[in-house]
Amino acid sequence: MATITTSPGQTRALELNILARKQRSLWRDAWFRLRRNKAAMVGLGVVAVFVVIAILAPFLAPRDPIQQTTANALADPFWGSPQYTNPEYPLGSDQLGRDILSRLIWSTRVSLWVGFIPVSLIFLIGVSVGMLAGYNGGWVDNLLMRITDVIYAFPDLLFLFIIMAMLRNTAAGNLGGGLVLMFVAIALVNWVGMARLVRGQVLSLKEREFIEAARAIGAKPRRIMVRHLFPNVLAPVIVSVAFGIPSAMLAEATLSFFGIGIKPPTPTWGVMINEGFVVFSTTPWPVLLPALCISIVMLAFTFVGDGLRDALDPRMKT
Amino acid sequence: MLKYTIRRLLLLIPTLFFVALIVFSLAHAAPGSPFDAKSNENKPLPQATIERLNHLYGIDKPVWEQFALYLSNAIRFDFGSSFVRDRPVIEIIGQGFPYSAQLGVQALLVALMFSLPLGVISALRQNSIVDYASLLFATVGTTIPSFVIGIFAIYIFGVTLHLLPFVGWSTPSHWILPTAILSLGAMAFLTRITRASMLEAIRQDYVRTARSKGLGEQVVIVAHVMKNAMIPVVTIVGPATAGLITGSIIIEGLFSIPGIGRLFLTSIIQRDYPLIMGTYMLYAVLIAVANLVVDLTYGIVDPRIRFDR
Amino acid sequence: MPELLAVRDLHTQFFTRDGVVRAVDGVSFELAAGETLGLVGESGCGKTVTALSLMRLIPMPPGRIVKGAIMFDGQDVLKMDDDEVRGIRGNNIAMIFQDPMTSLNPVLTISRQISEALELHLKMDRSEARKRTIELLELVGIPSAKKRVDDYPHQFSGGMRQRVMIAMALSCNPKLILADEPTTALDVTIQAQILELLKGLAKEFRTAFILITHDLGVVAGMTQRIHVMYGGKIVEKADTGELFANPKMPYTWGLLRSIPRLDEHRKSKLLPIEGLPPDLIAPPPGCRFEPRCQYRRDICREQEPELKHIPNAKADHEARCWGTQEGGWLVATDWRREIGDTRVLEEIKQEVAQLPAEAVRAAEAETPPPPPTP
Repeated sequence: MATITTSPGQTRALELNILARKQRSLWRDAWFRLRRNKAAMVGLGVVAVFVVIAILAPFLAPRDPIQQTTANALADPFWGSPQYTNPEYPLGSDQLGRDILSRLIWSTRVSLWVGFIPVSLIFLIGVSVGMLAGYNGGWVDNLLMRITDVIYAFPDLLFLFIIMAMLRNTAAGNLGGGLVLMFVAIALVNWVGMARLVRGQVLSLKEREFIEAARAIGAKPRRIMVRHLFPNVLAPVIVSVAFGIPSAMLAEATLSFFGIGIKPPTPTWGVMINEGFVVFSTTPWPVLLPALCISIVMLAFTFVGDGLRDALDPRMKT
Repeated sequence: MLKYTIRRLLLLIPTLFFVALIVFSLAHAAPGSPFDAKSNENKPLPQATIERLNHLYGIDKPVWEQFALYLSNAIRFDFGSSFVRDRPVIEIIGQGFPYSAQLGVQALLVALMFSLPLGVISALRQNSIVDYASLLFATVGTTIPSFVIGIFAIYIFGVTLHLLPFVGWSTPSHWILPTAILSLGAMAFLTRITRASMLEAIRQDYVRTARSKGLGEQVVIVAHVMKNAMIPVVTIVGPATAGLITGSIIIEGLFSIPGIGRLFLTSIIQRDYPLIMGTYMLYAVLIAVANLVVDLTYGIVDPRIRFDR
Repeated sequence: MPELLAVRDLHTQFFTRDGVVRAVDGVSFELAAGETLGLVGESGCGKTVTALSLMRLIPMPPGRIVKGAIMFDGQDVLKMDDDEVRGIRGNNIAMIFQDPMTSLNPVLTISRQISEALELHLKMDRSEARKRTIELLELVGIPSAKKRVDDYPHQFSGGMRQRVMIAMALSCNPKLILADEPTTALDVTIQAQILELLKGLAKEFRTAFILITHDLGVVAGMTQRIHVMYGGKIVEKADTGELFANPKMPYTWGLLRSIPRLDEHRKSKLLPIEGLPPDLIAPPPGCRFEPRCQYRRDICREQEPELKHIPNAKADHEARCWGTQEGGWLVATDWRREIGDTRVLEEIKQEVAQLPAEAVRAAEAETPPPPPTP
């Protein structure tokens, strides 16, 4: 008699459903949802432009960002009053006669490094310690929890301030104009958060059937962690990384703004604001333009992060 | 609850010890003497003077000895004297604290005053214009760093419109910009959480039960939904307050407010160890106390929380 | 007996992104004062939505009662304004929900949650309401009610919480109680106690009630009449005794075969109903049970049967099935022996086995229509 394929209604709908679902794994599903999110896609576009500018900075910047030409100091951007503009400095110049456009462009490099290197460190340390602590428990776990307790007692921004202020004049603080110290400091302050997140996830996953099944067939702990646990903690970790990048960039900007971050003359948006602040009330552009850049990049990363969170875990959507 | 409070306060002691240890060792890891900086300014201090100063302040002793001395004095609430200002740390902090406290409390109140109604309204009018506007505000406010927003605000209200002063803390009109900028982050954050937890609470089964009793919509929202929705909000007030406390450092720096935040900033730049230690410890205690207060409040709003463990 | 409730051609729909879910699709029934009725069917068949519609508790949006009338005490609930409906809720019609763990407000005391309705509908003051609350708690068998009245829900066990829910429902002496799977979330041992309590109290208070359940075993000793629902429609109506003795519709047979019975031979196996409940966005054009029915014929796919009186059954026994109508092929079938076309059964089994588990779950999850407001 009738088979399912010929029977109408629910079966047809169900089939369509299956067809649609078969081809979408969790990640494809997430990508689908992310693509539908307009804000996230705009954010992703801005981030892509930002990365390209950072990579191509030497070719894009019209002038040397460090070269000082005192005669051309404090030129207005091209929309300023004509008598103060200078066609060679499309976005104006700072009080030392450095080209603001070129400095903005070169700054993206520092931001890119600060965004990605410490977050990679945090990812590596946080995920491995978190998985070990969550899966094995024991002294690793105890130690992690004690360290966390102590680190949580340090207001993180203040701790960063102190590390940078105290160590920036040492040999380590001079590496890469303060960049290396900055990487280490940001990673040091933030890895515990990631470790705690992963640990929590592992603790709850550990009790689930598929892990028990893997253990029952004799899989080694290493294999269980790498093949079974890791893919399952990845979603929240990715979201946390996505938010970690802008917050690391923000830390750099804040520290540099207060003069204890990256050392001049290396241009960064924070350094530019710090240096421009002296002339802010008369010539605001050397401060406003980098501030605008920071705002745009921060918003772009947040949109991507929000989008990723909604896409990877629709239940978390608010 | 009293026992719980005492235990939490006692737990503060080892934490503070570690904070002191780490900050102390960091401060002493820096090369040279704090008086190098002083000597750089105009006329260099003679080497002999620096050594005499080092001896006077005990900086020539081994670091562990200095630390032990610091601790034993700290227990007696003697936090030493500032190298730069030649006055007791306690006195300096005591002078700056009222400014910071006023700034912080004002900002927290402003943040709560605006964020709670905004979050509730946007949850009740989900997907309306009000909702989208408050979501946009929440995103911008939590994303763009306060010093950047502060710069824009100074430019618009101070430099261009000449509406508000932006240096110092002398008159009430000086309070407006710093308070507003500092409160913004917490406000945005709390708006987001309030909206989310209202939406979460509103679709719970017990809300349907309340409606099935024939209660009016207002009673349902106020007595049933909001009472539950406030629980997650209260837990977030802790981190938000901690954020306000650290954020106040940036705001005090930006607006030149003579509070402890600016003391902290100048002390780390001048490497004034006693003042660094004093201000940092004060911040650690403030944040711990803020968290404790919030945890206790949490127990009051949520009857399921018990402290007798 | 005068009619207390008459539901006529009720249509409740949910407007979702994937389409319109016809959760309740033309349901009609009556209930006399003091009468007890069982509404039985699988999850997602529209029983809960029917109950919520009676109190106009359907979340709008996405839900909407698009058509029909609900005459309660001679008044159409669907034509009332919001204030009038609120005057009925909790006062004339009360509801007991499925999960006592989530249906009580965790931050309010038991006393507050029961008193609320008393103060509102019976205009009691605080102390009167409190006194009455304690009486009610004693009535539903809460030990040392006086002491426990100020406790919070989390201090009660699941069974005790359901007793509280019953006390709450009874508080204003309603004419009708809707009990939506009141025992599903409870331990088996507690289930019987709660059912007994409900039955006893309803009798004592002369309250009519509608018991909603997926378990025919639960309604057996509880209600005077049973309506079986499937895919948003009522498919069989009968007196309880008649339904168990003389069920007519293959879906009811399926339900009966899936209850374990002590009075039957060991070897009579429990037979599940194979397949999935219908997609209520695009329901089958003919009989809604047709895709899963082992007795189906071509006509079942082409045309939808009406809910009609059955020839050789009691006067008020009705079924929605071509096979049971005058001259139908099921009129003489003995459902206990004859389990239908086994080939069809096999076919369905195979098809279901081939579906990825994810799709089956998804289909199951999508069918129960009242989605929480997104």
